[in-house]
Amino acid sequence: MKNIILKNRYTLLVVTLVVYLGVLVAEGAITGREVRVFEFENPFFDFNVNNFEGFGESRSDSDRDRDRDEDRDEASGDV
Amino acid sequence: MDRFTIVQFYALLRREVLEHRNLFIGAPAVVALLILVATSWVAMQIDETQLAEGLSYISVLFDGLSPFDMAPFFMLLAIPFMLTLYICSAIYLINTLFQDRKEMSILFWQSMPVSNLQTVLSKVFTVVIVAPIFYVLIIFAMYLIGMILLTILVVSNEVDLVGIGWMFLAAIASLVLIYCSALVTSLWLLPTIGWLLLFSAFAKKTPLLWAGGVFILVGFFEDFIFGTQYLANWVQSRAANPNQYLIFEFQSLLERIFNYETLFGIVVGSVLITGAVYMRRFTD
Amino acid sequence: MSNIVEARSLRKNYGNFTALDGVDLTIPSGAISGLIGPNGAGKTTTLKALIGLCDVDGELSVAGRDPRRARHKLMEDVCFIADVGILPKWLKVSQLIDYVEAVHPRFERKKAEKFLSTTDIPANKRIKELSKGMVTQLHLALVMSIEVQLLVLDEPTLGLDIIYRKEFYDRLLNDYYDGNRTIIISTHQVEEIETLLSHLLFINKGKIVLDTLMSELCEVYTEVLVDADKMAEADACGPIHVRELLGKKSYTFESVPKERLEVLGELQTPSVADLFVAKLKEDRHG
Repeated sequence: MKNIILKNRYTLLVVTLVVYLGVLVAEGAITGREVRVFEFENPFFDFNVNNFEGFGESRSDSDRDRDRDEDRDEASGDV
Repeated sequence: MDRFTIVQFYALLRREVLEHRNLFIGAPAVVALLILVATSWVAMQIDETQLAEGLSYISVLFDGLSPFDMAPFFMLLAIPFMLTLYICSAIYLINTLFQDRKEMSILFWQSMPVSNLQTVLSKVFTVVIVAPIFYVLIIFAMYLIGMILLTILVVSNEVDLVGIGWMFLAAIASLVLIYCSALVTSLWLLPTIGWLLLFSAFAKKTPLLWAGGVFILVGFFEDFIFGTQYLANWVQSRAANPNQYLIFEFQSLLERIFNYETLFGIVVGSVLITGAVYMRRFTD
Repeated sequence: MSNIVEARSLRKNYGNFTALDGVDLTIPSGAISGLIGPNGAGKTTTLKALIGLCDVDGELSVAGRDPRRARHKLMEDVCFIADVGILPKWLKVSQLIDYVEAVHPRFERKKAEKFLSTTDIPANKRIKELSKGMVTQLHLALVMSIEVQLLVLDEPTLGLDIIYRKEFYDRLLNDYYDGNRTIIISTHQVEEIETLLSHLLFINKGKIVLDTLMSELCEVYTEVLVDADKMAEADACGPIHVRELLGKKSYTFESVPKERLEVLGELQTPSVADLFVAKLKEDRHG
């Protein structure tokens, strides 16, 4: 195991970062930190593994929402 | 720990200070000089007698009060020094495990019976414990010069000197507060210290770019895999906590160190520092 | 005699480049061992592996320790001088001595100062202000003041002029070597050290092609200056190398009985340099 981790600087960096992230995610989940801090308007930034199949749908959803909001703003003269 | 190990560690610390005199002695000396020059210039714009009386009036407020209670009044002067210390420490940390690989002097350092753990710990110690000592000594020198100039001003205007001595004592007491602030902040920022050391040891080129780039990427990676942003949340909560960067009273000192957030940060920092220690074996 | 270094099947790759391709070597205690090879042969990689500055695969024991496990403990018994100027340039000479005195339990300051007093090196100069020759003198003075079992020198006289080079080896032999310490020197300037050596290692393309004591060299290798009429006979004996020499040909033989060769011409033991070329060319032709 140690031979694999210490094979070269890249494997060591990856292992260190995995442990680092693992500790933070575990702590966040256990202590109930706020899960999301940034919301990205561009749906590409919200892309994650879990949403893979729903990705196509959610993109057209957000397009539809944006169009509806723009129409409403135009009507009220808020452009 | 035997005497030889202590002597060895002291030699490592001495080496760090000698190599980085500019960051640990030169930079705060420049800041002190700028403050003295700026203050003197402002003072020269005011009528001398009025200035002397104003100072005497302020110094009376210090008269007879405990220097430790009055010390917080001097903390504002500490701010430019603290900022300088953090910037210089960051420059030091990102370069310290990179420079000697670039110059090949790592082959000499590692031909001595000093372990990678001792080497990396000496660098952490330099930032957390040693550098603030030099900063405080220079601030003390600045206060001393300031006090001499003040005394000359007040005496030559035949104004009462009563509180000047007390003011000086409060300034000296503030040095202890400043050192404690630096210590508390370093412990709070141990994850940052570890992160910079890790990439200083890892990168073959441009360690700062690696440190910044990977930091952003790890955040996106977490979102991609877990759908969470705990890292971003954690970083945000640490950066935006101004109370951790300057302490104004001694009573809160232990509380600032022995609280969950600081102790958890020390755990995270230790993970990264351990990575840096193992990374040191890759000398090419 | 025990061996201070034992290495089996050392392998090291840098990306696609194979630096060490199954290196086996043993170095007896108290030897002055020369690791000779052309540029890129694997000399520096081998020496760095011996002192734990380079991770390699394979079995390795130096002064009874595995260099990869506890390098800093090994460094109490081993000293190293590299070819490049590795002394930290910003340090003053006196600060360097202070540092080594503080971190090395076997360093004797008085010895170092005595060695340095015979040079022109001022104590308050920074290392970047010293010439290359002085830097090597300084490093050697430090290393000679440390009581160690093994001294590893990686092309220590590279780029130095003749005076510094001669002085370096003179000091090493006269002031330092006592028959108990082991010295390993790597170089591609064979002629300079061949009279010093008691043990010989040739390395080429990451493999050891010769590992012999100097005392056994003359029993195994023979050089014969062969007349024109005996050349066919000489070819039949299976030389490892042939070269032209003033109208005659010089043949080098390995493990061929001397009685068989005596009839061919004048016998002599090949110089290390000639043997080196012979082994390299043999290696090239397979």
